[in-house]
Amino acid sequence: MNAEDIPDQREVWAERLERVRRSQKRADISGMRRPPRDPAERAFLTERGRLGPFPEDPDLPAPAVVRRRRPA
Amino acid sequence: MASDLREQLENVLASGLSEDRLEHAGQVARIAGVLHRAFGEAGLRSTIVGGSAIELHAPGVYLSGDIDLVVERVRRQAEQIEAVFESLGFERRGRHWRIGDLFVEVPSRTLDDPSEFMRVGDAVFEIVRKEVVLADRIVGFRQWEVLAWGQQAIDLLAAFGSEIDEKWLRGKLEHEGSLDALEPLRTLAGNDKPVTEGTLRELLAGLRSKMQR
Repeated sequence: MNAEDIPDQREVWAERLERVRRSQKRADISGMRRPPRDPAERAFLTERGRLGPFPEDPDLPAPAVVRRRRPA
Repeated sequence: MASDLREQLENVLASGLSEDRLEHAGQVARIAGVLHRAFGEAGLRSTIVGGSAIELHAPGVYLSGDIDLVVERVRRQAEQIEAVFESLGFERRGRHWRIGDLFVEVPSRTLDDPSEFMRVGDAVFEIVRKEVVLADRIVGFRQWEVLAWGQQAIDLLAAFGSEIDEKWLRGKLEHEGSLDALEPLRTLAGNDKPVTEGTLRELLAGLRSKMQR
């Protein structure tokens, strides 16, 4: 595989970002929650102010659990 | 070679990670390129998964604060993962690796999902395909009612438009019992109506009710 044969991803980023911004502009995310993070990851991201817009919900299954289990 | 890669990594991290979406994605890509080369030279194959894969396919949906990497052995005499991280200057904290503002986790040693090579400038690395991250969000929304992932699925559908491998995506969602959520989410991605917690809860309730009929 030659690197030159792979298109540069930056060619699609700007357009996709614009579409994402339009989508997010009409979203009211209050009340939307995400699964809890690993505690070490949460501490690291909190320290750097990088927790993201969605609060964690401790009642949701953690991502690792989501990956392993299948719903009945 | 390790010192060259370590220097490249230090250069990316020297000024901290940017808040600008495209610059941040570019930094993550450069880091991914360094990790891919370092692991590749050690006989290991690394693939970007999780939130950073979302960001690299569609900047703006997710500003990743960490990188999830699946690392597989491709050579019998491959080095240990630990040796590669240490050669790049990472410190181990439990099951995570840290350097500067960067937090890396290796959640798995095997990858079942399809991947592809991605290039961003000079950085080349392997990453799960965009349909994988989209399916992950749709399944999380449909099966576990994670509303944040429903919104991210809408953002991803908006970002990708018609560029999606529908056959693979539909097969995956059908296998995961979540195909019925695809079109309603796509409709939300394609119109101008506001999306709220109530919109997503109503959608889930409608899908549940159809299943019970």
